[in-house]
Amino acid sequence: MTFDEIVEQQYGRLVRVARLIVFDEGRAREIVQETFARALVRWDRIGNYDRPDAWLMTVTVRQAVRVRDRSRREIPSDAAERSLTAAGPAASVEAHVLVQQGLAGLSTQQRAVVVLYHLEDLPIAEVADRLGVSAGTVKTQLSRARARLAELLDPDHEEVSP
Amino acid sequence: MNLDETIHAALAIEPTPAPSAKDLAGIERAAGKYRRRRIGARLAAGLAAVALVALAIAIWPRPDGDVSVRTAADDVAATPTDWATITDPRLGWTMQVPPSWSTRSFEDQCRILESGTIARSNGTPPPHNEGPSHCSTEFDWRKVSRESVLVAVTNRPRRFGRHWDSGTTEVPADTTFPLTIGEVGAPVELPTGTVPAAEASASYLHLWSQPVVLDGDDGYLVTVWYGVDSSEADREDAGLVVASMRPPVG
Repeated sequence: MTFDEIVEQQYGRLVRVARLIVFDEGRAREIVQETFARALVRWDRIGNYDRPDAWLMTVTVRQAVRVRDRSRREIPSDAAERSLTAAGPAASVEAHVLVQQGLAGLSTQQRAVVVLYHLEDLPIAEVADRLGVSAGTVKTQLSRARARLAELLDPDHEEVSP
Repeated sequence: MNLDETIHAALAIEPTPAPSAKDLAGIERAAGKYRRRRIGARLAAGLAAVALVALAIAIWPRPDGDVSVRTAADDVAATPTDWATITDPRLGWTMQVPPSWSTRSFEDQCRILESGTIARSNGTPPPHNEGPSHCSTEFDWRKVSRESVLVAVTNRPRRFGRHWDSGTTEVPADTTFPLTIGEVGAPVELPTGTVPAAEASASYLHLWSQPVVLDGDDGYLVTVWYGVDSSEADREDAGLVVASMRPPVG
């Protein structure tokens, strides 16, 4: 796979993940551009990996978590909605807004865990690898995050651990 | 729709933008900056090494009784600015690692109370082996791949009577920083018997393992492992990680 091909294939996916972690479209794009820049400089090596997309996701997610934690700002309650855009069936859009609000209330790492597990459909072990933490930590973070999201989406819902 | 499906559907609504010309230009621009940072970091590392050697020569003890001075623990580390600084919670050592590396700290392992931090280039650092006594100071190499590069710093408290591993030479007190890989020489294969599986022992080169002694009292061991299929770039990064290592102040 050439560098141009992987940019075409992965750019949008990575921006989406980064944006859900940092809640800022511009920063998300900067983070992804920086990730691709690192890959470009070492493409002779990274291009030969079995899963260069996994490397890109790892660097993007960790950088997004770092950037978000470094900013140390609380997101205003309506900022998540302003910075993100939704288009789809009304029920999904409503859930989208609620999930965004729920995400805004989570820690950065919990948010990253939710995005990788629920959006990227990665198994627990891979989420742990991407974030550089243990599988036990991921399970704990995910359980807490899901409980909070479940409360928002359905106050009567009883959470079951993954 | 259950909770999993609802969350997935809600997140999947997020658009996935195609890269625009502006985005592609941003990548090129960032790549240029990244290249310059890397070159700058290597130049700085080289200059720092030269300066420290000169300093070491200048302050080395003289026969007439001058006092030697160990390099300050807070020397500037010449690593790219986006590397994370990791502090070992027990030992107080710091090291800087690339954003894609992972680290794990461990405390009071086994009877010799070994503590330390290990960093890996491509995934979660390996756990310790669980032998019959559920206690080992060896890492489980079956949990890492042939592409991995690892760097670790551990304590080796002498009060427990533990000697340095055979094949390593004890260095005098007042170790000079930064440590460098280059002074050690060619890689040697990890000795058979120190890992549980023959396959694992064939997969690793145990390049560098150097005792570090501070003030003739506290002993530490800095070790670098190269997987046989590890890349030159990761090996270079390992060198920078080692050069960034600093002992606790005071």
